Amino acid sequence: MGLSERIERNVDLSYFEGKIPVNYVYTYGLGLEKFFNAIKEKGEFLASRCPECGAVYFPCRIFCERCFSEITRTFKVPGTGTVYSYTVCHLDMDGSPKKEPDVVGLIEVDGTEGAKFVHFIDAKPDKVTIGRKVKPVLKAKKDREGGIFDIKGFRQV
Amino acid sequence: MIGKVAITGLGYTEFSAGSPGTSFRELTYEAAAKAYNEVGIEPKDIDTFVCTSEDFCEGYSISDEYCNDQLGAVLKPVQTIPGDAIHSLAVGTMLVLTGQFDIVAVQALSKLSNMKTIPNMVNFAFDPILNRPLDEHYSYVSGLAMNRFLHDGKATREQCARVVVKNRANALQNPVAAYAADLTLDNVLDSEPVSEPVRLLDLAQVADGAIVFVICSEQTARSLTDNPIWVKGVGWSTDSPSLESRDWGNAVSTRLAGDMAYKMAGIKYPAREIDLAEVTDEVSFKELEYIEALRLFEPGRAGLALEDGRTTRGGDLPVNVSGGDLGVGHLFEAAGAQKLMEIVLQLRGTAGSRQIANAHTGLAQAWRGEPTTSAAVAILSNK
Repeated sequence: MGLSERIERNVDLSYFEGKIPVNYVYTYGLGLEKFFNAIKEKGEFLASRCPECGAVYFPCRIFCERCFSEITRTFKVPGTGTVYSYTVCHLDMDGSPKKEPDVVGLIEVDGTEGAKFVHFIDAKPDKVTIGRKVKPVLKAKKDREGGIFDIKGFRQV
Repeated sequence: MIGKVAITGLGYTEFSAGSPGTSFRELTYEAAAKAYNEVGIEPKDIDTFVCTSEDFCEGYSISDEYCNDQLGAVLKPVQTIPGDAIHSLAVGTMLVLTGQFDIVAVQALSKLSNMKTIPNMVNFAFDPILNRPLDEHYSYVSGLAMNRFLHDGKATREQCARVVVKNRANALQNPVAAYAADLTLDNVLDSEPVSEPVRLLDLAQVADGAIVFVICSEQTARSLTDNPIWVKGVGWSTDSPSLESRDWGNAVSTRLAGDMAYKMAGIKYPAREIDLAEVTDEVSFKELEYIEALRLFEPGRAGLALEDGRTTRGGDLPVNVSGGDLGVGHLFEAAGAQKLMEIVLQLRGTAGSRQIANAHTGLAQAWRGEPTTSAAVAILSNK
């Protein structure tokens, strides 16, 4: 078969089906460890401010991505925010359709000078609007595990 | 630019939703053979090779080890760029400018039809602690960006749909495009919702294909071809990878990549000096966002320019006359190569029924797709 004589029927062709198990353990690092611990233990939300350029990070971090300074201190923010944008998601991660769409929000976090946070908004798609105030909804303390789903999502207020 | 570098040879396959009769190596082999034949060279004449590949897209880890044989580059100096093909062109250009390499081959490939679980693969590019656990299809990032883009009045929903209609119609004149179609605005606006406001037809569909360029120094270029296409400027930039701290809605990395390329090319007034542009339209609204970020249209004017026909094939600044990602197909890291290829064909005057009259300077821009913030730009000229 020459290059100009391509077969276009998959079923006529030979192929090998490949699959690999890929598993990782992702360490949180100092910044996220502190962030998720504060949520888990105290229900508090931590941001950090660069001592050099003033950039604010949420979740808190230990270095500034803008000016490359080390950041050693964190401060509490209420965890509330404003809907900067949202999207109504009809597909699961693998591309299959969902039974009910999810609403994912891009939240501008109060007290952070514009830092964003991505999470679900617990509302019917047609009830969500850009600019609405939202607050985080936490799991009961006994159920918190120190990860993103200690925050169940955000609810419009 | 401190010296002159030209694209002399160009080889490419057709772009198609699948290429079941051909392996990924054979796709590159076809494009490479065509590129080398065009300028009458053999692999032994090529000093070094720059490939473009992403392990997960290729289906190999350390995929750069599997790039060389199909280019005739076994036991030759080879390197691989895990970025867009325009990044690879930038590297190839710099290699020529060192004076140590006279003829360089630059390769890009998409064989995404091999990949059975593309959404899972793209989701693997998300932050594993903060974002990936949401378990959402990756287009949610485009949905968030597009909703804010519309909210800020940067364009209307209809104007975004018009990008799809224009580009897929443009592809009707491109014999190697995979997704040419004659659509209406309603076809787009009524298509299945994916990550609203993004709908199915707002999204480019993946395609297979390979593209190879031969680039050389000025003296060699003039000996190999009568129509060298000069690389006048290249630029690239990446915003923060974090969804939490990146600059949403301003396409800053494309702005900076464009400014870097313009400066190198000595371009002061892009809107007047660029004759045509090929930019990312992987999601419909991105075309409008990027042509403004590239200073080709005033802020907030791209949608109106589209409605006025200024960016159509007959307009004063045609955009994505090839069909773009929407019409040709989404080629992942080879996307920028398809954009460069269209500019080369147009500036050579060999673009057939879609030829733009009097095109001298063209711009190619590529974004690496969700969830990245990387952009690369090249300015090419036939003068």
